Amino acid sequence: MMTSPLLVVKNLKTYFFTNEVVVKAVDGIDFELAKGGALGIVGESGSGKSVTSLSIIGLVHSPGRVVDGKIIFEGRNLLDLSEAELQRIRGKEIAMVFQEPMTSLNPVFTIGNQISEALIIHQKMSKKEAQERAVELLNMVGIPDAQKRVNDYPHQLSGGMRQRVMIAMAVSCNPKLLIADEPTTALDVTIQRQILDLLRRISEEFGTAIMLITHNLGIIAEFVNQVAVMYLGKIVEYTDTVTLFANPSHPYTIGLLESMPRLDVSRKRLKTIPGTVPPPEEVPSGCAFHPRCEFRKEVCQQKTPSLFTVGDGHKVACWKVVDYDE
Amino acid sequence: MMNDVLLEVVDLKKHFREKNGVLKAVDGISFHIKRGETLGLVGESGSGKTTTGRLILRLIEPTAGRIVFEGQDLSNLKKHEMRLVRRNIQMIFQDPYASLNPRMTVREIIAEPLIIHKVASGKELEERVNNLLDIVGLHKNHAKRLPQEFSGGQRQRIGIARALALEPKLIVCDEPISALDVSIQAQIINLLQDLQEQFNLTYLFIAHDLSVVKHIADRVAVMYLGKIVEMGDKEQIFNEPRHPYTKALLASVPIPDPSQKGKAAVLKGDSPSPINPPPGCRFASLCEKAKDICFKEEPDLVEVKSNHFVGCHPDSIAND
Ligand SMILES: Nc1ncnc2c1ncn2[C@@H]1O[C@H](COP(=O)(O)OP(=O)(O)O)[C@@H](O)[C@H]1O
Ligand SMILES: Nc1ncnc2c1ncn2[C@@H]1O[C@H](COP(=O)(O)OP(=O)(O)O)[C@@H](O)[C@H]1O
Ligand code: SF4
Ligand SMILES: [Mg+2]
Ligand SMILES: [Mg+2]
Repeated sequence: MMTSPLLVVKNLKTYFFTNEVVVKAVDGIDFELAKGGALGIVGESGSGKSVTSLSIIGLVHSPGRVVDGKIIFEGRNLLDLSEAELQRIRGKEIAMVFQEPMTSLNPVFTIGNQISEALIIHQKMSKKEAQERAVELLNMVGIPDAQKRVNDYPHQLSGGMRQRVMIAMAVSCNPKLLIADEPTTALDVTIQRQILDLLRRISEEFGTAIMLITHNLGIIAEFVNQVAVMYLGKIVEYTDTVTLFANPSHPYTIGLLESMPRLDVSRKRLKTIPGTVPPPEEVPSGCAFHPRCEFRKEVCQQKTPSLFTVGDGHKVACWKVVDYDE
Repeated sequence: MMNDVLLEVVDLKKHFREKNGVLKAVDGISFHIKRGETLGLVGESGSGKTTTGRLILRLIEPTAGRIVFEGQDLSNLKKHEMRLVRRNIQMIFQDPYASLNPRMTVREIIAEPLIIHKVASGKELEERVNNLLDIVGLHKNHAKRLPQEFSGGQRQRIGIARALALEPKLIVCDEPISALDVSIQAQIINLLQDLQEQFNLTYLFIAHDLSVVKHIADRVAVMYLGKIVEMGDKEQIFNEPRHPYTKALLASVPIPDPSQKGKAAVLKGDSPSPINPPPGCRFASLCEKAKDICFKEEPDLVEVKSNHFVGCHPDSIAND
């Protein structure tokens, strides 16, 4: 029996209407996340990863707006909900962890107070209960001496510890979906592994589904089982992790994998992807990757490829995989 | 052959006085770099890598120790002698956004060191700048524009052109690709390698990304809280690491190969504060191998094999 997925995103489009131009930050993406699953979204800066997650939790602000699509969470389209209904879901059912915990923590309140707040609002706990639960949560995320640290202010903690506090807050109401947007990008590699381990433990213990956003393909390989590769607001390759690394099929994915220096493989000279990611107001026609692509042909400049299925659950938005046959 | 050594750093220290004690940012490190070689300097943030680079450029004064460049002890140099040396040592910075003056055109940015050091003027200056743009893969039409009109990778090229202007012998590259997009990093790495070959440059390459260091460096020094804890040839560090911190670092890097899934974290906590660091080995509180002596005495950096140095008590006991 097929269980229905926790989250289904369909043809999501989120645009920013700035004075001069319309920035198509997210331009028609589709993906699914199973209950308790782990989906990775990988792409360079500006590819639309953060806007995707903000769209899901309903925090896209003006001049930005979701202009099309569906975000179906447990069978309900979040885009049809009122702000009050959304607020009940946000934090309780869907929680988010950001790259820079310092900007999402309030500097004038103790971490204990900040964790308690959500518990008091969403779980209707008393102040005392909430404080006790906060200590438990800090223990759970591996903060030593939690009984004492609960009274610390954010600036008294290291970057890694602050990210643990953010995770404690995020999981305090036992959400079904945790969105982690580059949660370790600002951290040292040894601390990064601790935080990723923690996320994995939470996912396993509580059955929390995780949407992990990163630009690091190593993190993708080790921590998620399904991947969407984004480039300029579109998903260009979508598959399970093993297939992505064994059989990468979009020229952009192939280029990224070949240009990376690696610990486990020695390379004499790195291959490169020529050119740069164009600014969002200059998205190239047809396949947006075509100016940088060594496989491009006439059709690539003229028509946008859709996500063609090339294998079991493996989708690639590239004309080459269909022999350039429209 | 002493002549082979371009830079030698001897027992270098930089301490900062803080309200609650002394912050030992760099605390007695020694290393050398040979001509044409790349020494990779790795370690977690706050371990003293940038401070080391700034000391070598004499942007800050050392608390103690010597920096010897081409056989000359820099601390003994007079001002005008230092000016000559300064031409030979340049730096490329991590943040191509912050390190370029936003009000200067690309031409002015690249020409500035040539003008300050009175190397070229007029037509010759113009030609030099055009030539430098060409070397780093920019077009001479770019010269009139301001840095903010460029992408991160192109800005880093501008920074590299400026660093090359005075034909230096040593370039300190301080995390030159960390701020760049993944697809641009390889372009800059290849450029730095090409330039090294073309101009016989010597690099001190600072990075926290071990994969990049493995790719570009000949030798590697691993720093932890102001100390070098392990140093050796690239193969020694990456294939036969001996210091528990080096091992932990290497084991932490996520490998882009799903079949290697599921490694557990090796370090269980945060590093101690660099202010009034604990006695003994600075890594002891996190180290699985720590013995009593590790909490009391600071280990020396011992040559365990030819050119392979390790600062770890249990390691040197096992080696006796
Ligand atoms: N508030 C905003 N106003 C205008 N453009 C925006 C805004 N927020 C994001 N964008 C644009 O949307 C695109 C996608 O951004 P983002 O989702 O943050 O990328 P990523 O997280 O992949 O780095 C970028 O081109 C960015 O400039
Ligand atoms: N000008 C300064 N004043 C006080 N402390 C400093 C100064 N510069 C660096 N430090 C401190 O010295 C230590 C080493 O810093 P840095 O050399 O920048 O490390 P890294 O480059 O390895 O991240 C850090 O604890 C940092 O806070
Ligand atoms: S559609 Fe064409 S240009 Fe785009 S990635 Fe495929 S081959 Fe390259
Ligand atoms: Mg982002
Ligand atoms: Mg630094």
